[in-house]
Amino acid sequence: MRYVKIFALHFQQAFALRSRSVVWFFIALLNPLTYFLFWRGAYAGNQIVFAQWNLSSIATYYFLLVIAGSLLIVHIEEDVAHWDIQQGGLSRYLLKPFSYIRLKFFEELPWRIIQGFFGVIIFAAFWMLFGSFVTVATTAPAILFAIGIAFCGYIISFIFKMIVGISALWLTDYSGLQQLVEAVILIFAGMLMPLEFLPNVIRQIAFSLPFSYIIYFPLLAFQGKLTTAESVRTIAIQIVWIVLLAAIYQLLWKKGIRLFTGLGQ
Amino acid sequence: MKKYLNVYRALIHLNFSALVVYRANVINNILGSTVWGVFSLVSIILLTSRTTSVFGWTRDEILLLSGVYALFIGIFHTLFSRNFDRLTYLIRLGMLDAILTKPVDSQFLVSTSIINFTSIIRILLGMVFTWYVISISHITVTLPLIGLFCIGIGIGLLLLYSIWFIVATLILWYPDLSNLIEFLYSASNIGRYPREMYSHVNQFLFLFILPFTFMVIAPTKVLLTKLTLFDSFGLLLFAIVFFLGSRYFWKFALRFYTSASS
Repeated sequence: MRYVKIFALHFQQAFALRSRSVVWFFIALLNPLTYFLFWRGAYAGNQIVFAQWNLSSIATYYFLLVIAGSLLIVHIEEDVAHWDIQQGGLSRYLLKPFSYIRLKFFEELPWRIIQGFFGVIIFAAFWMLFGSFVTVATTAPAILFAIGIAFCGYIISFIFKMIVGISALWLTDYSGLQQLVEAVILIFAGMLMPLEFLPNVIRQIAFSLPFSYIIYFPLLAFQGKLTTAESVRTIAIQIVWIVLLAAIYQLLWKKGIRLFTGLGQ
Repeated sequence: MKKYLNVYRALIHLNFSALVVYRANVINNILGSTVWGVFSLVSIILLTSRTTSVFGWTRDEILLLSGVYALFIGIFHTLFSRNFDRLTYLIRLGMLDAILTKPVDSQFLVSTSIINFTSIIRILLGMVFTWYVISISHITVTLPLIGLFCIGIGIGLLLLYSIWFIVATLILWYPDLSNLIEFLYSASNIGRYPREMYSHVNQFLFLFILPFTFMVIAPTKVLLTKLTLFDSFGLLLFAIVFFLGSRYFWKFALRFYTSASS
């Protein structure tokens, strides 16, 4: 119950700053739309012949990516690294009788929900205007699996970004690492284009990393491109990644917190 | 004019001194610049790996456009972008007074105080990639073309700077919207792609996108010897209008600035 209250308080704060959320949402909207326009031109020139990916499925992919980019990509790492660790704000969390990672989870969730909501509106508008272009999962089991895969993807995203954030316990300036992580996620999560379009070697690397399970597989699930067996397999792999990343986080947190000093806090 | 050149020379010295003192930050910034420089080129190679032409541009022409964009944006990030991040900070904390009270044009000081030397990596990456694409495409480059190209890049930089400055000035009224600068980092990517790509979007939206489509396309078309009057006059006109607009808008906005006892 107390975490619900914490969530409600942070939701209030995030809602008060909803104009910032609108701008963050437009940032998340820009890239998928640009890539979609690019592929529309490529398909119009009949330059692309790719099994399972016609213009309709590409359009749906990028418009779903608008929601996924806002909802599933967590941005807690700067808060953790800069404001909590480097500025010493972590002290107030350590004095509270709550787990730090759970507090940050409920701090971040409202922002994702608000920005994801804007994405849903855009997708709904796209569906109303270009219904024939939209190809999504329509059966109840497929939708339920898709929601489960998306939820697991969010958890992977959150734990991974927390790991990136607490790297600031060792690094005086983590911005280089942060930018490297952002570029890697853009390619290997399928935010640039569907992973099937990548060269074979890069595609194999993408499937062996956790990032494809944050964005790419949830998008495939919502498009109805995963069979039941594939959905179960995806969730199983996601659970493995969640357990692995959680273990890495716990290890780094235990070792790193001894290095933290909150001067003047 | 001489006064401003002296001030800029002093700023270069100050920024270079900061660079050599905080060496760990330099390594991190170089890593960040390299990552984004490589990513912008790798992403376009991947995007065009499945197609030989898009919107009438061949793959080599699109790669050349990306190389020129990498060079262009590298120069912009070296000279200007960090100043806009700082401007949002100054406005939010009411600390613009230290700049407004100086006997130097405030727009000049706000725009040029920080020089990000580590972004030179992106300029070098852009130059190397552009030269590579020119070689494999067998494009003949002459000195007059290079001169015209440099002029085009300079005018394009003026246009992009003016757009950024106008948007950044809005923060004087809406200090909470400091992430508008983050939006501009993404919006500037519009210039990486052919103008024809955006011509089918909503006309109202296209008006906002149009200025971005001139800043890199015009210099690229110089190298391809495909520059049209529309491209050259469009670039010049937009640059002049937006630059004058940025100056007047900044002076108008300063009337609404309130400091915080700095």
